[in-house]
Amino acid sequence: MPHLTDSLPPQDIMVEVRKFISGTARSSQSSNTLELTRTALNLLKNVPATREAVLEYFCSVFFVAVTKYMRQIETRQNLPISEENIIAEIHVVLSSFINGNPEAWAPIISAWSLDLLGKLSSDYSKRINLSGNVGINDSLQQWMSCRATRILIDITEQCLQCLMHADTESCIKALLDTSVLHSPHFDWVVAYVGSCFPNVVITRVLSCGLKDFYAMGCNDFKDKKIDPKLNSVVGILSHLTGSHLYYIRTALLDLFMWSLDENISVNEDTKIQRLATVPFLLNLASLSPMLLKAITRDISQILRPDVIPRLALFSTDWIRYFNDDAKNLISIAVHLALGCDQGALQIINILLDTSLNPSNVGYHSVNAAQNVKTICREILELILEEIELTIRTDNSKSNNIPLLASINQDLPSVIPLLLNSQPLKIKTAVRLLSLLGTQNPNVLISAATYVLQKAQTTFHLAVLVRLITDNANFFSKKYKTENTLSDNGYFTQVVEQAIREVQYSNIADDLATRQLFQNLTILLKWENSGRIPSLKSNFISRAVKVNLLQMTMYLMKTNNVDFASDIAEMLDCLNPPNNNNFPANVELILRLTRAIIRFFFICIAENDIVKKERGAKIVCRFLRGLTTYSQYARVLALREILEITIFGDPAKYFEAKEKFKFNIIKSFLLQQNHKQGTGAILAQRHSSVFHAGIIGQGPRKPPPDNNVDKEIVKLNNTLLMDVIKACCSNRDFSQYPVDTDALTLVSLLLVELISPDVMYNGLPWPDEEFTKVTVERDLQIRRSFKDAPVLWTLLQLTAWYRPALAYCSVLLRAIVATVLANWSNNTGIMITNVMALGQLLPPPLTSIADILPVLEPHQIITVMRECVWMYMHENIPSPMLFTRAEGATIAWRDTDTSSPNIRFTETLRLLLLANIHILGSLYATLFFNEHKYI
Amino acid sequence: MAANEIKQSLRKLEFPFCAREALCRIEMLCGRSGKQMDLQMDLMSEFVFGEIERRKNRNVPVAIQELQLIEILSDFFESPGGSVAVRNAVFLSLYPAETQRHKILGNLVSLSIATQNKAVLNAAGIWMQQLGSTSLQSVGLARHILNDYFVLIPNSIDRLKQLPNLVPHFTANLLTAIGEVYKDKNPPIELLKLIGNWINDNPSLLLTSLMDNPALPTGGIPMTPITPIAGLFRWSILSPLRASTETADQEEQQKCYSKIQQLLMDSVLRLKSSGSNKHAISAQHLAAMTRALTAILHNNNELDNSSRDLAMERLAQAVSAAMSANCIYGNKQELLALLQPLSYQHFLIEWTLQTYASKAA
Repeated sequence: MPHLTDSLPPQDIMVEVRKFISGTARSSQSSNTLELTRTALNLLKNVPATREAVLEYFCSVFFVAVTKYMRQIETRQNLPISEENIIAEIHVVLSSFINGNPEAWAPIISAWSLDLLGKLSSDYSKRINLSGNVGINDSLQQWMSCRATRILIDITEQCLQCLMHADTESCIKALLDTSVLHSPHFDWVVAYVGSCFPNVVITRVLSCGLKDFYAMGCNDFKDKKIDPKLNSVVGILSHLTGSHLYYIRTALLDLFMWSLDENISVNEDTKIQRLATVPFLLNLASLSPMLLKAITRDISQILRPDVIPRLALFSTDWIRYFNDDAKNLISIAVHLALGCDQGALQIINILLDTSLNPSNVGYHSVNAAQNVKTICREILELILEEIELTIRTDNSKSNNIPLLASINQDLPSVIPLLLNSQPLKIKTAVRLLSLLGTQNPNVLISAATYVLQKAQTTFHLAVLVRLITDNANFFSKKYKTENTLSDNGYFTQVVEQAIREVQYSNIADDLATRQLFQNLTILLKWENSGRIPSLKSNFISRAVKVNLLQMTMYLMKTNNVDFASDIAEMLDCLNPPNNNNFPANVELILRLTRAIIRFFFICIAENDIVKKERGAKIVCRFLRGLTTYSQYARVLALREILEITIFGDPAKYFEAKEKFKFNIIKSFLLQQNHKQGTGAILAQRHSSVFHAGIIGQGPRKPPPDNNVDKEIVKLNNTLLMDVIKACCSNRDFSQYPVDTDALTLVSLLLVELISPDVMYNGLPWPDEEFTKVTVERDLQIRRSFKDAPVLWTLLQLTAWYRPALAYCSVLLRAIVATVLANWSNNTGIMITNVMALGQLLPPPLTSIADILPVLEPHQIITVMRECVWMYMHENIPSPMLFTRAEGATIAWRDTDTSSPNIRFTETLRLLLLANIHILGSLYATLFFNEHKYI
Repeated sequence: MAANEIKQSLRKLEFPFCAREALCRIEMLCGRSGKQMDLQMDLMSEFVFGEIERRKNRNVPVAIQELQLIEILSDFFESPGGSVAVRNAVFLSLYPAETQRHKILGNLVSLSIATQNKAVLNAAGIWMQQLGSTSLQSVGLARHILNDYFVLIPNSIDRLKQLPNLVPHFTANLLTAIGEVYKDKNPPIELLKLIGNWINDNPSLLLTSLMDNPALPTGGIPMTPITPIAGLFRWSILSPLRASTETADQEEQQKCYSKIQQLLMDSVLRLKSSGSNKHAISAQHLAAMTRALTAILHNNNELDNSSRDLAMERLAQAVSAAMSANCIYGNKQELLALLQPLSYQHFLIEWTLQTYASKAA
């Protein structure tokens, strides 16, 4: 290889030059390109004067290489291209120049390479662009796959790398000038270079585009043609957004901020450019979704409240870029907003905040401020309208509205707008959510749930109604489940979700839960009022009914009287169940019953009398509805009430004795073992338990006193009676609402609870002697009455509703037997009173209670035995004794036919006589007439 | 032959050949009495430079065509036969003052330096002298050459070393122009060394333009040559006051300037002995430099005293040497008036003023 040394002798130079000329001047390519290139490279290294000619020759080499490459692509061959090796040599030499002496060579070589790239790109644009209109990425890929152009790009990059520090301006200018010259085929080069020097190139490309835009923008827009240069700018930037979104965003923002600069001391040109900036940015964004994305990201930080008034100043000047029609400007803004797939909520918020901003600070006049607000509203309205139109007309497109998608992402911040205090914000949110709801019903459900949970004013509940009404189609839509009977609308889901969410949210936060039930109550009240047409379908009560089970659970769990009464109040608002509107779900009804009874006892435990009475009233009303509807509810309710009143914890509110509680301290087995002696000790047996206490725990403490106020106990008793009566109510008798058959149930229950024996539990009273057999049980029964004085009240109740008391015969018998045994005065009075009330003792035996306090103990025994026990023994207390009139609920015993035998009254009369100094008037009342007959 | 016939015959030829032929015709025309300048100009623009639209060959790239032309031009000037004077005239008319052809000229000269084409370089030297060595065109040419040999291909500086021996007249003019190129900034150190060597090896180089008479055709009026002396004095005088860009080489740089100052003084003093020419240095030239010096001293107060003194001392030396050799022409009074304010700052200037004020008058 004739490699020449660095310094050629002068003669040889001329020879080389001639060789080069003769090689290149000939148009044919027959000469040895490699040889010629080496000569050229030699000249380049040695003879500066030949520089341009040599570079020009290289151009042709590149052209040939590219042509061959293109042909290969077209013919799908893959042969080595000889020029590519030559080009590699050129690359080496040029690179060495650039690296060796960048200041001198880089401008020359970069100009050359840019120019060459430009020419190549435009000349081969048609061939590389085989498949019609290819994007910048495709052409970039195509060109980069060609070795020649790849090397050229590399050279360019090296040059620019060197120049960037020293002379950025001219460097980019050269790039852009070339780009303008060969636009749009050159865009790929700019895009590539741009990705190497993103911050510089992007800024420059933008400012270049802006200059172009303001220079000819307004004219072009008139012709509805999009400026090809703007297109190039958009193409380049769009390409760069892929990897340099941050730079682009910064550049765009800088540009925007620059345009806001109010420095007046700039020249006219800059002023016009500033005015054109926003229209330019709008145009850019409308041409490329990626740029739109870059601009709109975090837009709320850009369009701060203090910026908007400044923009308002310029807006009149923008119009000229939009065909002198403000409508075009607004329309482009609307469509851009629609195209936002990120941060759309910020845009909506800006519009809302601006239009609602009460202050005019920053605006140059009040008029302008008003104008801005109006336009913001208009834009907002247009956006919503446009979405609605798209969705309503073409359902297939509706999924392609980026704005909606973006809002969908920001859902957690949209929904709270529903509770805003500004009606406009609420309306907007309702509309947005409705629009989203057409695509995804869940959005509506969660929004409605939110409002239902959080609304604190009726105004916001009205929003909920509005939201539902707006989507009436949707909310009334039925589930298509296998069970066709359950016609649950989506509102059911709303209620369900609300309840569930409340459940899983912070338990301590009772207020939130209360709010939910209060809201439901209000809604139900509205529905019941019947004055709201949109609620006529009763979907709220239906939804509540479907979710009753969950609500019942709540009621079962809570101990908070306020919360419980909220739920109860809501239950109260439900229409009383009847066969038409209530699901025949046994489990639900039973649970409801239990829950409401639990609520009753919560009320009983409550100190605040108002709350207590209100709660009891609700319980009565509800139970009345429930038990008349369902028999098993009644059974359960009565049993629950009695059990709890007598044995449960709330018994203490009915003057029951506090239960003694074993206070067993858990201890380690080892310690227990240490305590043991040698004998066998069995737990809870006489070896360890004495009546005086438990070994190791000291003496048994007396049960704590029941310190419930007597007045309260009375009130509680009254309430209890009311509830029991409510449970026993009968729908058919409106005048006497209490059903005697139901009260019979109470009696039977009392017997079952207090004396659950199988033997001797019947109605008949046996021989007095027989009490010795049942004495233990009798004492137990007596003790029950002592422990739970409420039993007396219950007995009285049954006595009142004759003949229910007859079924309690065994209880009466047991108490009378104990009175016989220990001649207790008080108990005797009480028991005879009850029996008299129940008409089990006919007159004059009814008056025994009045006599007893006066009598001596032996007289008491005599009265009780001779008058009460013997009478009862002979007259079996059977319901058959009572006759019920047509339509009456209470039966009566015929006093004439049942007047007692003289055997039973005589003792009484004699005792009266014995005490005639005290009971004289009574004697007259009871026995005076009798003497007449004798 | 009539003008049209010449054109017709030339138009039958393709590009490289028509240029060559045209040059021959122009030479012939130039040598005759009736010069037909219009025809010459037409031929040049149409056939030599191809500036007429229809002669432009689209397929052949521009730069290569230029290179071809340059080759033909250098060939033509080197070819034996023909009088030097006529060829110089042809060269002058090829590149008139107002023209777009300076790039081609630059490349031609640059190539000729590389190929040591004496004919072209001589002609270029005369071209520079006729247009004035400090004229824009000459300075442009000098810039082109400096750019080629110092900036782009620094390793070929060697080619310039031979220049004073080969073509002293061209070199002298080039040196004047280079002096103008670096009027307001420090030249690179390589250039300083080169020039130092040039003058050192060829002591008469600075005065060559005064000695040689340019070969011009009859009737041509040679312009007054401008020696590089004043321009180079400016370098050495102002250099201490300029912030040096390369601090590393400062010492070496200062040595170079001292050397150049010394060589310049030698040359000026040699003029005194010969006493033949009184037009070596223009008073305006020196005055402009004095103004620049005054301005720098006035504006930059933070310069240290040694630099100030050195600059003023060199100025005083230059002026006094030139005065003593009596080789300053033009308005000496103005120069002395400009020196007056500086005399308070340096005794040597004061001495010079005292010594030569009366003489100048």
